Amino acid sequence: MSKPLIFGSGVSSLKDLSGLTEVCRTAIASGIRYFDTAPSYRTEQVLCEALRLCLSELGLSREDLRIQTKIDPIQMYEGNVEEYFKGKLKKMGLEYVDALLIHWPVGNYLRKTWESLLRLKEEGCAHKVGICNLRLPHLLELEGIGIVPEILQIERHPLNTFEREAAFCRQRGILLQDYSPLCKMHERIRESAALREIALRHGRDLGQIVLRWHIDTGATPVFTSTKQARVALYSHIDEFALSREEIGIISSLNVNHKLYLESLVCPGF
Amino acid sequence: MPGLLRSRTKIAVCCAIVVAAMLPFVGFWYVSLLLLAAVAMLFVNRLVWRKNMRPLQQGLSPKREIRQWHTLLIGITPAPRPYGDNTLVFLAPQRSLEASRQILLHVSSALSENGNVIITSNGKQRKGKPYTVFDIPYLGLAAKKELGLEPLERKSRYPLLYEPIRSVQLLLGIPTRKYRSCECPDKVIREYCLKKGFRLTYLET
Repeated sequence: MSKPLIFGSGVSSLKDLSGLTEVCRTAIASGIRYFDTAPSYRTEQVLCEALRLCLSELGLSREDLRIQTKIDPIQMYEGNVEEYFKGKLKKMGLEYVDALLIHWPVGNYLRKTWESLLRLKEEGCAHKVGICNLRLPHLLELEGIGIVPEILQIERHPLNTFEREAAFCRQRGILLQDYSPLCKMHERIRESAALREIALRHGRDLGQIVLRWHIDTGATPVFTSTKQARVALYSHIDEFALSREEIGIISSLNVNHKLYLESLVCPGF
Repeated sequence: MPGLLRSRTKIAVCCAIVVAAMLPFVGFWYVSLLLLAAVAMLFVNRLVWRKNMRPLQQGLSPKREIRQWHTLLIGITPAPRPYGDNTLVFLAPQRSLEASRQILLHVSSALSENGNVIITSNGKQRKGKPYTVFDIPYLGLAAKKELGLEPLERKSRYPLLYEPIRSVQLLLGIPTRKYRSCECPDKVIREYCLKKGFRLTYLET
């Protein structure tokens, strides 16, 4: 059974094939089956190559993995998303992706890009479609015009819990994915006495506690690491659960702090 | 000085200084002066660039401190006083209202809910070139392409070279001006602030 984690190959990920293959091998061997990338990460092709090597070594098939990628603002601006993505699939050596997400909801291009994603889904190029970086007002506005993503990926962590967005997804059966789930181990998380106490009580690493918080609040964390030991460590987060009280304590760290401000990429957000 | 320059540039600058120190001894004192002037200009350019980038790093970078910004102040220098502690300031000499609008659209995520927006302007239309190198760091990729600002992007790292007078004004400041409050003439700014629940103040010289 696969772990409730997504391994992200974001900007801080390894870009060389051998290093990424080692980390992916550890992830797959630890039960992680879901992998995330995007054009701006410059890891789409190297990730797929690394996964191919791992699959043949571990005796698994493509259907055992979930691979998702995104459409970046530059592709939205340039248009021809369908043509672009079909070419991208060829370069990645894939027949389909399990999920295709709009990376940043740039207002002027969002509707047209969403329609392209739906067509790609109809043609079997993507099994699920979603959008990243939306807040509740945007979700409600889009719902009003018939745009309901199957997946919502947002920056979410104990310093910004996005309770309303999480509730929205729960009510509508939208899969919630949380990127930067550890908020880059911000000092407020790293030095939190409450978190340390919870970690001590469970005999777990601080990062494991925070990742478990994501799962216990209905989301799947998208984490990245260049270290095999950390990937293996984090894969064990399905071996314990947090109590309601512990979830509340972690959620109370919320200070509405976002690492990545949406309007910088989506003006007028 | 070393804190302002990247390592490769540091090496190049140190070599230039050493050469400049040696040249007078072989009669090329004028070349020496030129080299020293170039180094000085590089240093001043970096100061200008850093000053322009400061609000980006202070208020928008993922590495910033956790802080609630209650006010965005965008527009022309000098700043109207007083404007409060939790104010993120984006001012540049003679910034156009159009550029201020784009900057607002790009940085508004930094503002807390029901925050304040103060726009300052000299009330004049800048015909032809509403954007300068001081505006570029705050604009996203799609906006730069839509507005045809890619050539300006390449120039934005050398503000002293492409906007020497405004660069000096940014560094040294310009005399205090009197501002008067009136209705913002930019409809997009008014409607955006209304939609987001921001309190808008427009100040004109």
